[in-house]
Amino acid sequence: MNDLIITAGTAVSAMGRGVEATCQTLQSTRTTLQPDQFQPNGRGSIGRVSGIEDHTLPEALALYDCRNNHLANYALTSDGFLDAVIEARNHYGAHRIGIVMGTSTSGILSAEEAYAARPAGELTLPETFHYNTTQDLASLPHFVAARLGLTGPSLTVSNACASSTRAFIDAAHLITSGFCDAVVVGGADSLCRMTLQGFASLELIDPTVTRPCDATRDGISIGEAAGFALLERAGARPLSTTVSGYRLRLLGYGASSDGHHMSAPDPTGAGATQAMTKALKRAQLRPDDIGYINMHGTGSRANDAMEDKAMTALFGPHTPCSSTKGWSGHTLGASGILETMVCAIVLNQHFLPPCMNSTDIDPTFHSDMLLTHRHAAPQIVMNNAFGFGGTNSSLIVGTMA
Amino acid sequence: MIITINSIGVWGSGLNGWDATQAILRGEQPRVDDTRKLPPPSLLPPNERRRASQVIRLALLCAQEACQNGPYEASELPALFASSNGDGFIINRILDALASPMGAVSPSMFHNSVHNAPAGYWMIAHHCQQPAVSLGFHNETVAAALLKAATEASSEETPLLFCAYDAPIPGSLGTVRRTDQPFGCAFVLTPGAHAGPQLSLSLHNEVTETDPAIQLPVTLQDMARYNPAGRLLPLLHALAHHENHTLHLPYGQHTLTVELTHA
Repeated sequence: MNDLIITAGTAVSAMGRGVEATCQTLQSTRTTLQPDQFQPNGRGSIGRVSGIEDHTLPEALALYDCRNNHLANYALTSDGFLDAVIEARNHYGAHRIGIVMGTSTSGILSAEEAYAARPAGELTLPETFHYNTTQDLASLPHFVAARLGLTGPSLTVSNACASSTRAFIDAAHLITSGFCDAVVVGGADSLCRMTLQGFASLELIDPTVTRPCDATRDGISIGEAAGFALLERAGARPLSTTVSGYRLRLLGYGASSDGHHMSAPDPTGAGATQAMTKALKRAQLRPDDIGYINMHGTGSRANDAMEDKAMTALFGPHTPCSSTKGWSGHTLGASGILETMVCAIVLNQHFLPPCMNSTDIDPTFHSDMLLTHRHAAPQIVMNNAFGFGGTNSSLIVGTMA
Repeated sequence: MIITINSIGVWGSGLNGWDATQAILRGEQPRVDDTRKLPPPSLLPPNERRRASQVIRLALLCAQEACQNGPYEASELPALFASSNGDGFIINRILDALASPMGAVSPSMFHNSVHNAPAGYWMIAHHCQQPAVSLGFHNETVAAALLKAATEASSEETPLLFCAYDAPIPGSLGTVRRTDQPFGCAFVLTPGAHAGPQLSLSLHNEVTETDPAIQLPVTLQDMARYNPAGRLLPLLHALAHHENHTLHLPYGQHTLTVELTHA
């Protein structure tokens, strides 16, 4: 690949604000999911970011006010990410830095509130509801562009739960084709009743708490997250000694479709295997080179079984893997950027996080799924994301050395 | 950056396929609004055929026509689906349900609500394992999607299915988002310059405001102005006339310039 590197990165989720807080959670066995009190009669658990309701946007960007952009702003102002982007902007120019955001539901919570506030029998929405700058898919990249003072090509990728993983691929295309020198890539998905009730209607919510890969796992716990990475070419500019988050190499990516079912993964894992295989091929790596896999690992019966099958087919039984959604919950379209930051932590802090909340790995699984923390110093790791519509993406990242 | 258009698919209200649409674009026939429901694409398995919403059908009819007339098997093509509104009918239904005390979100409605639902149905229809990306960028969706399609086709050195579609949103959301008539358009694209219509894309760091409806027959003008996918109509107009044409698409603080030539 064209030597693409991530020079800055950050994320917020129920695990914490910024990479250091996230790292501390990942090193612990602290419970970060909580009972769903986000909605009346909520069931199961959620990964809620505390303080989002009180977080405010800069006054000039008040039109963008919604939970999703609050979450985005919370992340943008973590880990010195703003300063890192300003440095890149000073070097490349604002118009040469693009923005590729992944989100599944953007600011739809604002529309939920606006619908609930309608007078009985009327269609008219309150004047305080601004569709374009909250619910529309373009809201997030427009907000990020305004917040960062960037004017390069922007777009939103909405590939369900693979959105911000797939966003890295689209960002790479913009750079390798020469339309951008750098791209702010990432995304945000925030709690809303549509996803909480939608997944409940599919009976995919664990009534207690999600337990990825466990024999008794019974569904997902939904979480919220936002995260960003600055993607650019290696060696294109001198980098400062102050690092926002961690620096890492984007070594490979692969995407595929299941072509099987809208809301259930192909049980053979063929599509997932293909995404991982393509990522290895692009990185010119063998399966043995991968030191850890951060699984999609949603905790649903079907996903984890499919993913185990796909990983085993490609890697055999000895590649350590885990899902960190037992801490964060399933952060949907934001899971890709969040878990890329988890991969950055793993690469730099020399430990592998286990499947939080899980006690007995499904006996039918064959992969090396972690139940306890393990000391290890992998140089290259993989991150998987699969979504509704049968959309699959895998990324391979490595240390800068 | 140059890409070649191999084939075209067009559906929309009163637009039933590329041949019929060409006659309308040439002014030989008027476009007449057609409120009849779109048929389910025959290539879907029975369950998916039953569940495919009108917006999904719109996207798939365009994609199907482009692939039927193109040089590649549909199952070989990576895909890019682009829409500003996504499935506004379903989003509005879900929002209404969430706002009513007894309302419940239906499972199939929820999985159809994801922006990449048409891509998912398309891949199921063709047992296709190629990648698909689903984009949205409000009124500039076509600019973002054309640029993205060209960069993907050239970076990955692959032909690609491009499909842009949008339809009006009913209910309360429709009061804050005007969209005129369902419209969709698909291209099979090959990177580089080959025989056939070619598009040369370049990005200019300045905003050029143009009226997308200029030169179009009157019955297509509102669609070009008020349907985000309708921004492709001036390009289709030039294609129907076998004319060269330069399209200026506003894209943030840039303009995406798309030069159509015929080789």
